[in-house]
Amino acid sequence: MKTYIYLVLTLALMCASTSSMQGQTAKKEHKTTMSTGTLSIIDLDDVLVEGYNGSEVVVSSMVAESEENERAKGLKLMNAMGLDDNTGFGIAVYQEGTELFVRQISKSCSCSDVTIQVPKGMKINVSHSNYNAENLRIKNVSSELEITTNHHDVRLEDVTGPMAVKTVYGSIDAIFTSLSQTGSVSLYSVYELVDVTIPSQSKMNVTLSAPYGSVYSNINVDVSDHGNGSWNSGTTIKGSFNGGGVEFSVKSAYEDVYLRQAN
Amino acid sequence: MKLKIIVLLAFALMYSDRGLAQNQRIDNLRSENASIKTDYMDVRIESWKEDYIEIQSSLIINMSNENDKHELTIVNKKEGIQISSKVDISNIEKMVIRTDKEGNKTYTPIKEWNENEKGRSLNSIDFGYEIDGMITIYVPESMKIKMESIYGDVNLEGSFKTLKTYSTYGLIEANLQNVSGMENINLNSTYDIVDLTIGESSHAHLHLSTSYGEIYSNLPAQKNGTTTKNYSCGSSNEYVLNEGSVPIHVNATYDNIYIRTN
Repeated sequence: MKTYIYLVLTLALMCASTSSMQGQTAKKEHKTTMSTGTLSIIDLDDVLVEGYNGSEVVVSSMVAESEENERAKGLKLMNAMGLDDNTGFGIAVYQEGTELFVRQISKSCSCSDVTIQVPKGMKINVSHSNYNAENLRIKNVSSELEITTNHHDVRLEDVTGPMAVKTVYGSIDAIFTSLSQTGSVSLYSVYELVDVTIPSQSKMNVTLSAPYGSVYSNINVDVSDHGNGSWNSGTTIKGSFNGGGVEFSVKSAYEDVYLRQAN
Repeated sequence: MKLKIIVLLAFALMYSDRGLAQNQRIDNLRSENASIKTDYMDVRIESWKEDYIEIQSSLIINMSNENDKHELTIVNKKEGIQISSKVDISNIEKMVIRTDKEGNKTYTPIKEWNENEKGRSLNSIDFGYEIDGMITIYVPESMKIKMESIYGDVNLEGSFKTLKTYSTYGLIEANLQNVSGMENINLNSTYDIVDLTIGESSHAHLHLSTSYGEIYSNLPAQKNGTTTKNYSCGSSNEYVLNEGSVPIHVNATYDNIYIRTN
């Protein structure tokens, strides 16, 4: 029988011994041998994508014991797409041709602190459309990168491009270690700021645009076109840096743009 | 004499019982429809081959000191049989319920509680009242059952003509091995899970939906794909088991659904 205690006010006096009731966590991993092709990451709310010198795509997460669903043992999570949770933490990993998909299929998964290690050389696509977005971090990636997200703040560290990053309601913070000349870079946030740091020797043809914001920079752009110059029609600056090079576009429709030269 | 007994029984079937209830029986059922409503008790409904309803209940309110705040009402009319279990919480005395590390509880009326008793080694202190109750109802398997529960868990076993169950705060667990003889099944929980077990050879058309939970099952892969939808705020699945037949609607608005076959 279940006992009901209907409470006006509850005080829980927890003994020291009860602090251990939080349970242990264990790391769960799923590995796929693949070092070329495309990695598509779909609807992961909270993820760190990290490039490394390996031959496997490794998807991992820390799972707390308390998060294990005892009642679901022996059952599979039913998914509208017919996908299986083959990672054990609410993410399905499956391959179609030369494309590897990593897709979140559970709402109640331990999908925070998910890390995906990606072999250098694989192209990376990240897409996310719902409002459950938390953190999206990309680190140490030198291959082609495409990100389309609605609510994530996007943080890029030790990246080189080429890339196309778009977020609607989130900001973009990017730190480039070098600037690849093999393809263009486009960083676009509709409603939030974009803050980019580039190495001092980067060669690029740069477009900085903030229709309803301002552009701040400490680099010497050789300006070729700065729009009509009127304060009430936004800011668009086109020019080159270090003699010009790859196309480099930074835009925030409703907020400010920051372009920094690394020290 | 026989007529007198029948009349007496007929009157006896419409009565109220208060306090810690025992076994009761409803003979000469005047309808195939039964409506069962409970608020704080856990409920188990089990079908059987008898032609009467039997109710077994046990209840403790505040260490049995206030069992008289419970009312069990039974009506047997041709328009339907009604079984209602209610607890009048507005008149229950609120207590301080202290639980020590070994799980032992002590109860003190709030007005007598000494606030200075802090520093005792306790696991928890709760302020309120304690209701611990279970009602088991055996019904003929030819009956149409509508069950509504507010706080209690609902447990269903057997086979019925139709089954509609609504639970607000409690879970629903149903073990319906033989659904083939049923006309339809409807299991709805608002804030808790629904866990349904049906026979592997059942012919059923399952409609599963949850707005904020997830759906787990060991159903075999569907040979013929049927509609599934995935919403950003929930999911809905249709599943045809063994070419389908009996419609089974399962909904858990804020929690998970578990479907098992065995």
